[in-house]
Amino acid sequence: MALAQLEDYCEVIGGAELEEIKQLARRLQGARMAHVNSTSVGGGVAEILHRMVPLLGELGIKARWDVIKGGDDFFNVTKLFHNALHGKAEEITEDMYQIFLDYNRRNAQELDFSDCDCVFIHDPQPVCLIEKREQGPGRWIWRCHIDISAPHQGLWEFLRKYVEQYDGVIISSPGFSQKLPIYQYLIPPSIDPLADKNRELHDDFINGVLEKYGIDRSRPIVTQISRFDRFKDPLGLVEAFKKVRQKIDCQLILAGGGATDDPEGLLVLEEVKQSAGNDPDIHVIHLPPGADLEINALVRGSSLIVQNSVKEGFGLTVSEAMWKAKPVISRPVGGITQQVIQDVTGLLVHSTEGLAFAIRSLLANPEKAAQLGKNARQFVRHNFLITRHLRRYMLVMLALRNPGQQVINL
Amino acid sequence: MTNQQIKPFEFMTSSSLVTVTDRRASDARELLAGIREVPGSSIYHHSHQAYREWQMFDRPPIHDFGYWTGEVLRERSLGEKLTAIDPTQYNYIRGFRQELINIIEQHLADGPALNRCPPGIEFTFCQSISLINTTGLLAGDIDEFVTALGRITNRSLYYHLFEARLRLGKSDNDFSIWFRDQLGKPELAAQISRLDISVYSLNQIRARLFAILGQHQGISALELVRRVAQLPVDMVESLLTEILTLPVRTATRFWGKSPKTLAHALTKNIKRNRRARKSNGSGTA
Repeated sequence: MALAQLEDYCEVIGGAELEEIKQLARRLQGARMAHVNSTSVGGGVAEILHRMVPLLGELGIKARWDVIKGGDDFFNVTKLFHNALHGKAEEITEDMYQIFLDYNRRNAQELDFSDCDCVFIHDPQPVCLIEKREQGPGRWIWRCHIDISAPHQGLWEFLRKYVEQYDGVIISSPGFSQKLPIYQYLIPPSIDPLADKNRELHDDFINGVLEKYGIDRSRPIVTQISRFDRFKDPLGLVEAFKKVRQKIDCQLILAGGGATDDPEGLLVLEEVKQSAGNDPDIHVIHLPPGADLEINALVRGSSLIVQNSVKEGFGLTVSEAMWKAKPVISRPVGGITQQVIQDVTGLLVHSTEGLAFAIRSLLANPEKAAQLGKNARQFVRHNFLITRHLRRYMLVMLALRNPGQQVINL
Repeated sequence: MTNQQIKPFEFMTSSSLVTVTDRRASDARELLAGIREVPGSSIYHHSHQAYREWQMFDRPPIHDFGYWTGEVLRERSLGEKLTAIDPTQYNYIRGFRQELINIIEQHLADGPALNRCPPGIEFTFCQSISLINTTGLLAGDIDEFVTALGRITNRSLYYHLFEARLRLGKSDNDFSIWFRDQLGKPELAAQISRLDISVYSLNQIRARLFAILGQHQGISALELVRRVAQLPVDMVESLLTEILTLPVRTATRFWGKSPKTLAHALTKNIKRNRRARKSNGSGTA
């Protein structure tokens, strides 16, 4: 399906909202913006940039997207850094820092930001590219998508030297703020309501996908969509599901793909398969890149969605489920606390036992589940769609032109 | 005042960019220290963001200080007292800040055992940067004003009812000032000023503004449907719900139609929007 155009969003957000976005963009005509991250496929950052960059272009902002290159040694180090920033105890050696710096400097030699008005560096992997700053007068933003509320101290001290050279940091939750001498903007990530992963689907298509994977739509379906990652605690969900099934006949789907910058995914997938054993009602589905319509169908065909993450910068899969008016159960971690308001837009749980009870409770009370889903959809429409995200990025650019001002008359 | 002398009402809008500080509070004492010391823009952010963002649920907005103290910290009594302070009653942030300080000091003076929240759900002090822009919409009379009211975002509504008043230290909201000073309609202005904006969502406020102005102008329900067609479907639905919750006799008097007729007209519009959306091809896989 062709990518949606800006005007297509009018149906979702209304003409007035779209007009306000265009009004803001008029203040930034011709501005040049670069985004840099470490993968073009898989993961939320790549998904957002695939949509964000063309939409910025339609608004008259010259946006581009660069992906840094790295070998297995680099991505093994950055995965370990990712885990350590999320608070996992990791041993980080001098060699690792050196590998990290070498690849950053090698990439820096190939990239040119001299004509950019604003450079957005996404996540820690390319953070040292800030050393290129002397090339041009543009503003630099470090867009941190992960939960850095309790980072590995040694690693954070290493990264801080680079982060402090930026004009600002963007974080997804107030709890992630750090002691820094620069602005820390609060901007949650977003989903695209018109992308294949989120658009409306015919029931026949949903039934076809469920049939393909041997899932019975006549019985309740509990689903978690996520990369196979220990921080998503898929094993905890399997355990909770087994408790639920002692009382309710239902099925579990654990489905997700991988990202090129995540070397651990296949290991975790094997662990999940082992935990599921031969249970015919636990469906572990490893999806290839581009299986967005299937993910959409799996969510729409489900009774409720779980996001059992123990660490999460922000739950894009949570927003995706909420947008489909599905009741969501999650742990109150990271950016998810911005998305799931207890008993209003979903349920928050703190343990495997609590998760099992919440699943049983919502399966037994479909009216309550439906109300949570309805609220959730509204909440996403107002806060977590890509149109709001676009707007916020433009606001950052405009605010950076007026540093120190609390009220800016455009 | 003749038409030539009337200064048109220019609908502005305000976008808020939130910045986060590293200052946090885990109990009432730390909250008090923060309230005393943070800049006014932080107090403004936490006193008003609920009114700006809390649009879709059927319960009134509660400012951050009251919500966090009551619901997160579980200091119920203090939370209630803080929630009851209405920030929209203050022309200046310093008055609201002082009242918060008075209430918390009074609470602490009794020497109560203080609840402390666990890490991760502390009160994190934020600030708002407001970027103010025109919507390009002007109104020269009430009829044009009602049309524009069906086309602006909630952000614009918020700006004129809440933000402009506080930022510029005005004694009333922008709408009432214009109706009184430019159109010579003091009764209409007073009706709008009397709306208790602190207990309604912006959707609810918009519905009430439509009711007040619709009654004044004798605008039919079907005409209303036409004028709100620019709004997203969920907002039209919300408006419908709001208008239907007005007492039956009142609604009938306002619109000259029963709520049932009104509901029918609005629902037809919603369905037409949905059909148009599906025919655009978004309904197939």
